[in-house]
Amino acid sequence: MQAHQIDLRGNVLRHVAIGLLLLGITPAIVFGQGEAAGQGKPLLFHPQRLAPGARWTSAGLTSVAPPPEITEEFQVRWPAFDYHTLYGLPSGFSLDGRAAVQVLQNRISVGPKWVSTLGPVSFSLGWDIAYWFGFLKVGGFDSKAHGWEGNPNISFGYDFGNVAATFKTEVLSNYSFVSYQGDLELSSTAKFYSGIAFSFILEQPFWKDQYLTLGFRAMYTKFYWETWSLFSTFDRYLFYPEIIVGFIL
Amino acid sequence: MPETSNDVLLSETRRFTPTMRSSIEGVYRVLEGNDVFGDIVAMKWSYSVAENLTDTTFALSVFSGRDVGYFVLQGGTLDSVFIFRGYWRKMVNTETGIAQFAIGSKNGGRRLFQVTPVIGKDSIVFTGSFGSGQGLPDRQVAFAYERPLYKAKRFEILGHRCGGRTSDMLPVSENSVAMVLFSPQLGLTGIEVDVRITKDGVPILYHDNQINLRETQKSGLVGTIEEYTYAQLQAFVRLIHGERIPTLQEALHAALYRTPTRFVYVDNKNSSNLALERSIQKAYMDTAAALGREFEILIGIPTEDLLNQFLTLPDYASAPSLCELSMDDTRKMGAIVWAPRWTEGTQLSNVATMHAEGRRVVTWTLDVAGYVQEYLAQGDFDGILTNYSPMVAFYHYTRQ
Repeated sequence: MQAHQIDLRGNVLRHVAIGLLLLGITPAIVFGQGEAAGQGKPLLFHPQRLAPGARWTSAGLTSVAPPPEITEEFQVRWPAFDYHTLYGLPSGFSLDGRAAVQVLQNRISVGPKWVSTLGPVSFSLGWDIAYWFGFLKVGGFDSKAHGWEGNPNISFGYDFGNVAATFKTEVLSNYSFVSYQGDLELSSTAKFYSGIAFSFILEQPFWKDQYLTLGFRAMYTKFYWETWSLFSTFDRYLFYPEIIVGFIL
Repeated sequence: MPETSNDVLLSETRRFTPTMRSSIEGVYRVLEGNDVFGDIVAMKWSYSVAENLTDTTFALSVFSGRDVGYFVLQGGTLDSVFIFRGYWRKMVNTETGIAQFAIGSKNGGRRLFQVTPVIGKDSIVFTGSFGSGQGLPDRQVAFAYERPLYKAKRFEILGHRCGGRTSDMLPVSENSVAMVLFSPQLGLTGIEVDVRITKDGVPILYHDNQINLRETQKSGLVGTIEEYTYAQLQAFVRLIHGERIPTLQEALHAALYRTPTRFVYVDNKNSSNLALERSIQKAYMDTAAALGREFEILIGIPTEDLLNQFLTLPDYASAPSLCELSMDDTRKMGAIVWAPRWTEGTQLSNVATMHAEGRRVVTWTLDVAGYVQEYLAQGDFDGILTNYSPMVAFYHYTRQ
């Protein structure tokens, strides 16, 4: 086996530096200390300060429509089971974890989030690190792949009382992409800065105390992990719309 | 693709001789422009013949290993200077522009006028410039001859859907006669065509199940190709760049008479009429043989249903064919080419088995640069079907 190895260190270090800068400096300038942390509302996307040890979890589905440039006539949309949890840490920080499960391909992410609030307005900065993997060994495929991704993100929220609205922006980047065809391995970081995503999310009571998350995410990216098996070679920003539905447990 | 016609200087030049053209082909070192085109490029000529079958246009393609980049140039001589004009582009993105080159008399121009020019390292130097979009060429680029193209192993570079996908923003539509004529400029030795049958039994080229806006302009027609007659499709449907949907015969005619294409892989969709296709195949291959033209047409079998239909042909054993199914199916139908999907790996032992049986192996549809390199270096395939033929051409011709 022979792999094309590309030195990742320069890009990763640069990314880490930018992330630390965003996490450490900007929030203090913009919002100051914010309100005291508590158990908060059962909201997963909306920026809110949680007390250390407080935790909210949701389960639901996400569905992405891949662009016709890469799927052509086959508009296949497999929803992913989405598990999302938020765990309170000291000093306005929380830990944001998500898992997307499609059996043959799965992704798990975790990352710190720092939140500040000012009345109904809130703000957060986060940086999620994700690992995904997939395998396909049917119908002429002897393929598998895995990769690391990073998503520095910034969110603005407004709490209307019953409804919490959040606008989130993420940078989509690939730290590594490794694929295998039979006994051949190929490693690449050709699409390190992959694109950007914008999400608009509403979280509100749905039934008694049960909260519902409804979101739309617009990704403009050169690579999206769920389409790894299509081996798209486009070096262009393609549009991937995503619907997010979650029930807060 | 930028507009490059009506070049006054080019119209003043004289045509290159066959010796000049063959002497220019080769692998070149990139002296300037490495950041855009990489460290080496491969240059190869192709031609296309006008509809009147008399006027031939030669094009020099320059294949770069960076982002599936390539140039297409036309040229001629002016005294002892060789002039080239054309365009460059990268297939993975939207970068393109005008390009112009010259081989000065002291940079190989005078040498190329010799009856049998001796070409060696640095004996030909292209100097020129390239621009962005429709803008004037303003960045320097230069290539120096390094070595001949790799030709030790016969290898087929096969273009998906007659040469490439519409989604790669090529100037002509996939599965069109225009794409058949364009394909040699992309470095192809052969093409794959997708065949369906119209309601009145005419084999035509079209890929998708449905008449859709991915492949055609808005026409008002909905449903499958098979629901319409050939006359209806001719009257109401135009491909994305305005071409008509061609018949299989029109595509084969263009490939045989108007291009150097030597291999046609007929990818049958489920509606195909293999008995009719066999008669068309035989007619064109007999014509090619009479012309002394190297020209293979292979009936492609991608499904069990089509395999069963193929086996009912009275002369199936002598019909040149290609099988995308198992090796056993390949043997059963007597296919001369086995075509496994690229995602199954290099399959070295299976490929060796097929070779030992006298069959060739072509893999499809491979577009990933790293795997193209690996398959050429470690695999033993006889050809690759691809959407990115300039990239496959680059990695194949620069082999040592």
